[in-house]
Amino acid sequence: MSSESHEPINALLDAVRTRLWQRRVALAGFWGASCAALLALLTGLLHRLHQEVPDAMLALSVAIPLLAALLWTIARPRPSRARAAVLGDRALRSRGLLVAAVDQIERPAAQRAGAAGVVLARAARLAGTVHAADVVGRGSAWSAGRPLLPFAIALSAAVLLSGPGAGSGLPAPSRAAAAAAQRLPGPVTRAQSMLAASAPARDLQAIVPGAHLARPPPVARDARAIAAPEPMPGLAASDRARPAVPALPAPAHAAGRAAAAGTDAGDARAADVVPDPSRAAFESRREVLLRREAGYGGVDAGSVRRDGPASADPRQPGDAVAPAGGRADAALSALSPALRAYADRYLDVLDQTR
Amino acid sequence: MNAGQSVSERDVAAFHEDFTRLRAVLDGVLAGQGALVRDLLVAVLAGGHVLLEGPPGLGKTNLAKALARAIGVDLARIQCTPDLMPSDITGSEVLTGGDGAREFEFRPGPVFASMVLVDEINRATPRSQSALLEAMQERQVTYAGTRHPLPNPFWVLATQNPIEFEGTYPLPEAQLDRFMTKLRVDYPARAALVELAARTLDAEPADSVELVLAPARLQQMMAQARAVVVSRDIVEAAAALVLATHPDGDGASAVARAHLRYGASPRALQALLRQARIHALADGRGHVCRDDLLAGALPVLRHRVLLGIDSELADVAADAVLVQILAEWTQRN
Repeated sequence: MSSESHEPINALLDAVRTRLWQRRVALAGFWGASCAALLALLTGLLHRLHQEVPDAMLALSVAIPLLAALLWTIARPRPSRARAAVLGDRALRSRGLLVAAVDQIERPAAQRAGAAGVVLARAARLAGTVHAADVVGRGSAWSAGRPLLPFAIALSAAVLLSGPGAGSGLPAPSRAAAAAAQRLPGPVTRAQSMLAASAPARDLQAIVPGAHLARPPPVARDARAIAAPEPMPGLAASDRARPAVPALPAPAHAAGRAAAAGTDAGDARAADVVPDPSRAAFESRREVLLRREAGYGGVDAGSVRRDGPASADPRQPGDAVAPAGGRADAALSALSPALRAYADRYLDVLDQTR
Repeated sequence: MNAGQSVSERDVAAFHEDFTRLRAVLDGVLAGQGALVRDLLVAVLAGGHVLLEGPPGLGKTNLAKALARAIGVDLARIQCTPDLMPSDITGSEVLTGGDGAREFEFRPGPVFASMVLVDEINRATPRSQSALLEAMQERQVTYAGTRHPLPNPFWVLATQNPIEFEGTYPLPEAQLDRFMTKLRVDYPARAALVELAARTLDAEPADSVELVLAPARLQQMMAQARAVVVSRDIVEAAAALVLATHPDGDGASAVARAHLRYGASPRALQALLRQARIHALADGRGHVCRDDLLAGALPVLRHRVLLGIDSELADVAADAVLVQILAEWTQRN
């Protein structure tokens, strides 16, 4: 058997091995790109929803799977002739002819079986009539193009999720909660954080004791409030920039302090001693809460009491607050409707998280 | 696998043609037993001994007689009974001559025929059954220290009845292993019975079988089978199949672990590959493929595996276990 008669077999097997190699590269690229796309999406989501992710990490999440796929492809040996022959037999339904031919070709001529000539001749005849595509399958263009789709997804995910406008699509409460939480001193509860997110900065102290009013650069909403402040007579000029908060009546201790200072309660200087509305609001809320805890039942103007059975409370919805609280109730009644609404929400949240 | 006589494309085609012709003749004798005839011919061409198992009256003896006539070899028959002696099989020395020149002369027994039909082999005592061991494996008989070679080719076709067990001596494993194949003779289907009646009502087809293949041609075909290409891939697949029947081996299948006590011997591997070569040539190929291994697997393995006690009590058939093992093997290879 001359070596020329093996030529079609060798040519077919080499072509099949090349096709297998190409398919393997395409497959590795597909998986690498898929993993890169997935990691890019996850990184982008992390960046967008939780915390900022460095650009280098995003680049690594794309590059590492692709690099691993490339290394895996390079590290593996080229498909063997025996493997190509097995695939060829399966595809061509030649019942082991190519495997037997390869087995005989790789033996020294003296060790070949008596029927080796028949086998090699048949295999050569078969190999001469088929193409590698008949063995491995057509559609190599699809195989080569397969990695492009996930790779495109990876790139678009990376661009969309980590671009300059990454934060613009966040839900407002979440962003506000994050921003407000940064303004709150020390540890805060989730309820406080949520309420603080909804409240303007001026009401922070009413929600979280100790929260100062030092604000970050004003956002558009605060800017609008500054541009059109409510007229508040009696406020100092330095306080005019503050958002509108209804003036509270001078508390008794303030009037006492003014009298001790030798001034009349109706004196203009005494009138200038404007109590801190936020602190007063907080104190009033504390009073309300203490009363609620003690079972007196807190009420909000225009709403039903929240705790205890309705029959236990002789008051009807819409009843005015009983003047049992004295100073605190006066402060509560002086709260602005907006602040009452926030207090209601605060109570709701408190009830839910208790 | 070894380089033997060179086989050409024409030789392969001639083998295929002769095999088909011989098979057609035997199919004419035993209607409705095509698979049995094919497996019997494969085993004979592979040079192996055959154990035929089936109820009485299904034509086992007729088949053996027809085969011997078709391939032109002499057939000897041994009817096994409990009082059968080993010398009744192998032959013995008798005193011959007279007038002071008397001497012992070896008189060959029936085992010295090319084809020996051992009828109801399980009725012979173990001692007599053992007389066949050397003949079957080494193709020789040793009597009184003298070796007597058996004719070449040499086949033992033994029959046994699976129904009756009283007064029988089941063949030991060593004896069973010497049979290349164990073929089951099943009841023919209705159409086959009708055909059988039409053929055998007024004549005995086995008696009218003409010579199909001359002994020289038969030997040539057997030599050609030894020249068939068996690639390493196929040898490894066959070894995997044999190992799959070993319940304690690494390559054991789950079914073998559950139902088998002992697996097939290395002799089974040889038998598998030899039969696969015949299957390949009968199919017109000069090389063995996996289908050839599969075709001969059941007859080769069914008497070489030993069922576990629980499986025997549960009346699990060895064939059922082997079919599952073969299914697993096919998926793996």
